[in-house]
Amino acid sequence: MTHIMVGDGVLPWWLSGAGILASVVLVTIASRQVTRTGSRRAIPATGVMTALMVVVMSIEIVPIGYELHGTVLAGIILGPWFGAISSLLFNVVRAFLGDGAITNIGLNTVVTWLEMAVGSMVFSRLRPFAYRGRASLCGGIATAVSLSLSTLVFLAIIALSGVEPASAVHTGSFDVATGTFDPDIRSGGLVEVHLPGSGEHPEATVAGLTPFTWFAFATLFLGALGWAIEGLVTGVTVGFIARIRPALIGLAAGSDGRGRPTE
Amino acid sequence: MRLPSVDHSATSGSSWLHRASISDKVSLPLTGFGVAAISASPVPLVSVYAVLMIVAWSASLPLARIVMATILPVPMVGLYALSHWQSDWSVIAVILAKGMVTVEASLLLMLTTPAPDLLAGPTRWLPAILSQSLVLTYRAVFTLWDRLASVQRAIQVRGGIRHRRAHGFPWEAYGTPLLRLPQVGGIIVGMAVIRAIDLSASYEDALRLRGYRGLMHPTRRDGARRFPAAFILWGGCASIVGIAAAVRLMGWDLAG
Repeated sequence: MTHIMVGDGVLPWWLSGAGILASVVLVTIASRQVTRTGSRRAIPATGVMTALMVVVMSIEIVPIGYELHGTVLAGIILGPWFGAISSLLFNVVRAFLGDGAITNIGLNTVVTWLEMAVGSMVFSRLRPFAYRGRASLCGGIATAVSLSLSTLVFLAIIALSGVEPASAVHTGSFDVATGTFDPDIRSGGLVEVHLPGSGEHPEATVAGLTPFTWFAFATLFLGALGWAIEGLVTGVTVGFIARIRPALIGLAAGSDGRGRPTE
Repeated sequence: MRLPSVDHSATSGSSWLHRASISDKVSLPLTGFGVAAISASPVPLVSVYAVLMIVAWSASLPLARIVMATILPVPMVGLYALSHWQSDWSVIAVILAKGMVTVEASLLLMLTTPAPDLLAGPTRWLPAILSQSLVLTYRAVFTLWDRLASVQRAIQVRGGIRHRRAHGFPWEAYGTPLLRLPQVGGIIVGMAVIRAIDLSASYEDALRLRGYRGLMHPTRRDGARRFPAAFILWGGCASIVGIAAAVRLMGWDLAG
């Protein structure tokens, strides 16, 4: 499961603020959607799936620093709108019991919701194939797709967190006569402008790669191991639920998916 | 930290911090949040960590568990810190310390405040669907822990996680091979989820029959604030955040 695990005051304020704003918009839309169309019976399931994520959160696969969370399973059972509510509640609990980063609740809510929504969407696409004992495979595929996508979003957020709007741009001046920019602000140009990516302080590199590139490689490598484990567990769980309570994951009981009864 | 042990500490303790009003104890996470947001040097952060540890000690909280909980996120936070490596170890130390201080400050509130008191406020102002889900989440955590603890005991009495036959049991115990663990884990999670959803739905029905309308009531009235605790907590919060702001504004390089 992907989440941004840094303390308050580490990420830029504009990024944390944007995350909080996005999560407020998301949860507002989700609340309206579930109030308008959702069943009240889904509220206990929302509580249980949020609780499941809280409980599984405490199981860390220590060698690779990966935490299982069951977010995709929650997405498959709850769908994207109840998933948004579950995502917010889970991240609030996690902030107070785990990471402590209250300002990152917004960003983490969005990333967690993305995992749930993509997992739910992929599984719903695969649902026609999820009969005859193939529900596990469909659950595993949905998990792998969802986690890999959310990890890319996570890396994009981390990359953005290294950007300060005030310093992401660099000074220069515009020469009206030639219509060109000169990086030297003392060159007598008319307007001082800022060009991205021309910082005075070259970024430190390790073996020719930036620290962020190393971080991205490490995250993707360790993440891939985690996706495999989480995909396996989620797949088996989905397969088990498909046999015992198929309606919980949107499958028709006693059917092979084409309207024909199973024996 | 596991929610059942946090809940046990919050409900069984009787220290001055346990007795303090929740509106005063909110100053603890605010202190952590404020200092983490302001500080650019590790020294104020480490100092606040130590001060909060003294507060935890004075309230007879489990110090070793708190330290462990604050250290657990360090590998992931450290990885993030290294991704912003600029040949300056103090930056890494600041990022790590910010994570540890905010975790510690939040835990002090959670370890000394029963969940109904924590949830009473949010259930009043959150939309009904959120507040009801929050209350059922709290209840379901214990149901799931109970189920998972039973399964863990079952795996142990079958010989634990091992490939060969386990010895030392008065019965034939063949253990659960490590490679089968994801499969066993999936079935356990599936069983726990189905059982917990059924229980949670019955629980909500029972609550509604007894007049539940989505509001939780605190275990005691918040009006009974105790002056020394309020003074210590809010005074301490203002002083610490003020000192951290002064250090930042004056540009004192405490790291030397």
